[in-house]
Amino acid sequence: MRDTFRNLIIGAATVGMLASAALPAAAQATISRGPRTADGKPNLNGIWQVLTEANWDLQGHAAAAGPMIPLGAIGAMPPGQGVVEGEEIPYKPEALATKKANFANRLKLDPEVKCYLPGVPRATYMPFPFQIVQTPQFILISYEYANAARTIYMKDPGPAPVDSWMGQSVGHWEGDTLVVDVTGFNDQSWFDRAGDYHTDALHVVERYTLHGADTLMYEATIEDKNVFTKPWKISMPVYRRLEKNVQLMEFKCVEFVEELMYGQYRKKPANP
Amino acid sequence: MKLRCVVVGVLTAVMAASTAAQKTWTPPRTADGQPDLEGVWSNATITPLERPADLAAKAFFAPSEVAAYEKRVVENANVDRRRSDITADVGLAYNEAWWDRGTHVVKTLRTSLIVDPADGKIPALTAEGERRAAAVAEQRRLHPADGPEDRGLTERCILWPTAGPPMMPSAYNNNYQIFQGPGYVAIMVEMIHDVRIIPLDGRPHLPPNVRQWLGDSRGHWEGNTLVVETTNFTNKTRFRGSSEDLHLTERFTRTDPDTILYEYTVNDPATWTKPWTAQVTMTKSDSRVYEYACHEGNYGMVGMLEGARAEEKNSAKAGAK
Amino acid sequence: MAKRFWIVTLIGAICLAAPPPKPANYVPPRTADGQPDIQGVWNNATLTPLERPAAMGSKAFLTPAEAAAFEKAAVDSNNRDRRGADAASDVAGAYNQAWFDRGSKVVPTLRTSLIVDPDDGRIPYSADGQKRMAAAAEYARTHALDSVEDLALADRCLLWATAGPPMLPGPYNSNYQIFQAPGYVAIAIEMIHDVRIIPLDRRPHLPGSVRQWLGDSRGHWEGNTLVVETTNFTDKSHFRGATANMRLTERFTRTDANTLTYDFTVDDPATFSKPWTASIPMTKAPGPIYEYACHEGNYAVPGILGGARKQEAAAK
Repeated sequence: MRDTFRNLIIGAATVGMLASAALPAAAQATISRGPRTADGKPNLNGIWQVLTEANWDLQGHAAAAGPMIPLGAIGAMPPGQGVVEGEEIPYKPEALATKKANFANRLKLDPEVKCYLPGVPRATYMPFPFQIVQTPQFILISYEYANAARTIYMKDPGPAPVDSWMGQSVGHWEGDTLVVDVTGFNDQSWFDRAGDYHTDALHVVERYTLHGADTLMYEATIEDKNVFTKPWKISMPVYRRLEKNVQLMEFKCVEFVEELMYGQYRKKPANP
Repeated sequence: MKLRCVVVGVLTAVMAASTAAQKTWTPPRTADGQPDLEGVWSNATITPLERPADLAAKAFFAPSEVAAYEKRVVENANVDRRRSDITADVGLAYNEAWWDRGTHVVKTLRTSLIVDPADGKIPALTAEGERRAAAVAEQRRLHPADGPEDRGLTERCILWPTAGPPMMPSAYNNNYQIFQGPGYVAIMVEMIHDVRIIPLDGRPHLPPNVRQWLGDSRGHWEGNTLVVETTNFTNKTRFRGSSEDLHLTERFTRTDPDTILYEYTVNDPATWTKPWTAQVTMTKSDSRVYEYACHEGNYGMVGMLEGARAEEKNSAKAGAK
Repeated sequence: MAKRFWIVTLIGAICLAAPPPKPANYVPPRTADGQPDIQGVWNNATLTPLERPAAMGSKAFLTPAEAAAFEKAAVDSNNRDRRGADAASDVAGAYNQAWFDRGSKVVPTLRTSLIVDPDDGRIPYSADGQKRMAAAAEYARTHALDSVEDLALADRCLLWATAGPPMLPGPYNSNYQIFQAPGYVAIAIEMIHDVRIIPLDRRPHLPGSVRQWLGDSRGHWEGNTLVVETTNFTDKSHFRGATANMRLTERFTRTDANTLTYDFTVDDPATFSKPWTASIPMTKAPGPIYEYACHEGNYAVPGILGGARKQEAAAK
């Protein structure tokens, strides 16, 4: 009796030990902030956010009143020194007229108003954080704004099978710089709130380079033969969010624009 | 006799020595080696920008004339002497407690702040400058209070002449605090809690399409003088009628422990036929800079606009009768 | 005698506490930082319903022959290329079969429901839960199209059942791509390009005052099983009638090279008389995940609501 009891307990204990031994120590989840990933690449993992006013207007601009008087200073445009190299976006003359018309009508036309997907590179400099999850074959970028997301293929899958808002991203390393080639855009997104736009001929090449542990230097070269006379480039630093336990939260803005977009379809009250 | 001569002689020698000391006084240095301009300063003065007509030929006061002049000017300015006519009296608004125009002429004893041209007056306007000034005056005459944009920048709580730039003494609160850090001079202006942060690293100005109420300033040291170049003004700032192409050069030199000589040159060929230069002496203050929450307490604007609307209604009623 | 009883009870307790038995002895490869590798594109479409159909009575499992017949019948009846008898019902059928991707197989275990507990394969509603569901159904019946808030979350392009969580298969696009990096598992869900980024570092949940459509998830590894606890739901998603206080536990185990076994347990005492558990196999898929720009192409909402308004006007 005693032996049986002892054997049963030893057996149970062994089962318990084996179960816990199968748990790899490394998988106890240290979020690595080391400069290199396990496969030797610069470690871009983390939560990042820009501090520029590029989303208001890529070009340098003074502060200005906003389009909604009731919002007062809350809706006003902050000033920005601009992120465009050479300061001016090289529009074709007829395209510049379109940009100006876009701006004049921006409350109706800016896709951001309706919580539409932001496209690339605008997703990078929306005033919301994004998270990079880096694996050898794919780099996932998850954007807090409208839970936009894109997968960067580190192995070229061929031409984009269909046009999309966020395009198709193909990445490779040039030394310590992640170079991302984005094609397959539709013509729906804008570059900022100032009416800067593109067609489906858009082609964007981004470069992400770590600059110290907590800063990324970001560049994007933009070309669209239908709109611009030549390619042009924007650049800005992107900063790591360092708060303890920082995480992306939800900005599911579709709900916030339903009244704007569908309010006119509400059943009319029986007795107005 | 001999004693008096000796005393006079000694006094003269002492004065000469102190004057010589003023000319060669070396300011202390900040930790990063800039001549030290830090502290709280006031540029209140009774010296007007332009030389008064009755002093036309006189560039400087004699020391013996100063006291009498100051007494006379201060007495005339005193608004505690109310007007006998009630409307005129109410129109004076504040009484003397509120004002702080200063009680002294500038330490240089000049009869005007303007030092160039030699006649102490702003040079003639160009044709375009005159056209612009006339248009502005006409607009004011026809539309004194249609909306807030018709009122002055001080009444709108947007910009005071004490901030400028150039930084001009005004009705009260002529106070500034200067801070220096490596590569920067920062001037906090009491009205309206504007802070001019002036980089010293030779970087370019903002792009030309970016315009700012206080322009865009870049500084560098020439010996013990801080030279500040300011461009990129808006077309709404209008310093004495200037255009947005105003190029302003300011020079700050600490001439003794209690004095900064502040000189500025206005260069705006679109408005004036030649550049002009003025000097103000800034005096060390042992007070502090207070918070001037202008907009937060701006009952004046509401009163003025409502009053204008009431007047219109009254005259409409009167006309309808 | 007493001693043996307690030994048996002890062993029994240890066994019940262990995770459900896994088929075979598959050992998944590891990611660079030592996590069991569950990365890749996965699809969870299946013909097995969440709850056991009433017609199945007390039948927990199908025989292989029954399964084959069930699959044939289901695929047949699901086939939207068989249009309605008249024009009106045909138009109401909306999409034809090209659009659907409900799957063609039942689960390999041949269970008659995805629910594995309780034994009857049905969601165990409490009396309160049933009352609330009935009230919601009544409201929906009488306010079907008053405004956009009356439409289904999927129609509003806010949230699909494929995202949940828990992540249930949908009529199409039941696709997921999983990424792992040190300290994180990220699940990118095709509809609606939601990404669940699950930290593994044992940090606390968001404050109780913060509520999110997909809740707030925290994960950790138990052996080869990723355990994800999710709380902080809103009172707007109502998974199968649940309240905002629902607590969800999901378990992901790669049981062979091409299968990720996905179990979830739903706990909400305000709605269910006891926690209930379901199991869905996720199968390796070739990918890629496409962009599901739902809201950007949502012509349906103005159409549905505009149509309802027109009908009312015509009725007057």
